[in-house]
Amino acid sequence: MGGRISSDLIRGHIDTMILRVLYENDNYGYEIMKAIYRNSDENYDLKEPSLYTSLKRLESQKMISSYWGDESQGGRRKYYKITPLGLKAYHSAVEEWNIARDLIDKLIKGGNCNE
Amino acid sequence: MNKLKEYVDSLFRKYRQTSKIRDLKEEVYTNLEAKRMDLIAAGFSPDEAFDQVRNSITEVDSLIEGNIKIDRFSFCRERMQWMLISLLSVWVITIPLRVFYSVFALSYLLAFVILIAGVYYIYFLKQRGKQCQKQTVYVNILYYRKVKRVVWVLWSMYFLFSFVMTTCVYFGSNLWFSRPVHIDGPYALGNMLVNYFLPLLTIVIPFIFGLNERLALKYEVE
Repeated sequence: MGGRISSDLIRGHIDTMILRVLYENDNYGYEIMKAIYRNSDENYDLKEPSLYTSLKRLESQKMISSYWGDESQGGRRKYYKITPLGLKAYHSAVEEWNIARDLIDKLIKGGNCNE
Repeated sequence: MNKLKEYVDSLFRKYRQTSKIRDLKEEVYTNLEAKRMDLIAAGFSPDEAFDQVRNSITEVDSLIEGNIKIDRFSFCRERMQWMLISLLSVWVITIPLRVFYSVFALSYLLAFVILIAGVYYIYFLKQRGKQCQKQTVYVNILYYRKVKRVVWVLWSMYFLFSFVMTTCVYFGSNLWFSRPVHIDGPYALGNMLVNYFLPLLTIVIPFIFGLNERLALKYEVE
C-alpha cells in the first residue's frame, strides 16, 4: 500500500511504538525515530515534537527511565530504558490492540466479506 | 559555536536556563546533530542537511514543563472582567466611608480608574478581540504559581506592617507612658477602624494574581 497513513489513527499508539523500540534495547531520541521509521517499512515518520512529548509523558508515568550516555561529538546523548512498569504497559497495550483490531474489523468491514 | 547549536539556543532563548532546560536543550541538540550527520552520510550537502534538521523542530514551547496552550482572548477577557469586578467592589465599599477624610480622595480616584479600565475593556472587546479571536499562546503554569505565592507573601507583609504602624500611631504613647486609652467619640473611633481596615481592601491585588493560574487551566486548548 505505502500511501499516507492517517495520523489520527496512529497518534494514540505512539507511546506503545516507543515502548516497543525500547523493549529491544536502551536507545536515544534520534535512534528511536529511526527504528520506528524502519519498523514501518519507511511508511511512517515520527516527528520530533511528538517524540519528545511522548518521551516526557512516558517518563513522568515511570514507564521509562533516562540516563546520560558518554560524551559523543558535541555533547552527551540522553538514553531511555524501559522499566518493569513500562513492560507491563506494553504487553497490555498489545493485548488491547488485538481486541480493538478484531472488533474494528468486524464493525467497519462487516460480516463475512473480508475485503 | 556551530550553526546548529546556535539554532537550538535560539529555540530556548526566552526560557530561563535552569538545569532542566539545559538538559532538554542538550538532548534536542545531540539528536538533531545525529540526524544531520546521518543526512550528510546519505549524500545531502551540509546546507541541505542543516535546513532539513532545522525544519524538523521549529518550537519547543510544548516541551517545557508547566507550559500549557491557552485561548488568549478568552483568558484576557475573563481576567479583565474580574479586575473590573474587584475594583468595583472596593469602590462600593468606599462609598459610605467617604465621610472619613482618608477615604474621600481614594474613593473618587477609584471611580476615575474604573472609568478608564471600563473604557479600555470595551475597546479591547471591539478591537483586539477581532484580531485575536482564535489566537493561542503558551503560558507557564508553574511560573504563575510562583508569582502568586510571592505576591501573597508580600501582601501579608504589607498588611501586617500597616497594622503595626496604625497601632503605633494610635496607641504608641499610651503604651509608652502607660496612659489609659482615650477616644474622642464615634467619629474618632470610626476613623481609627478605617485606618486599621482600609489596607485590607488591597487584598484584590493578590486575588487578581491568583486568577492567572485558574483561568489558564480553564481556557487550556488542545
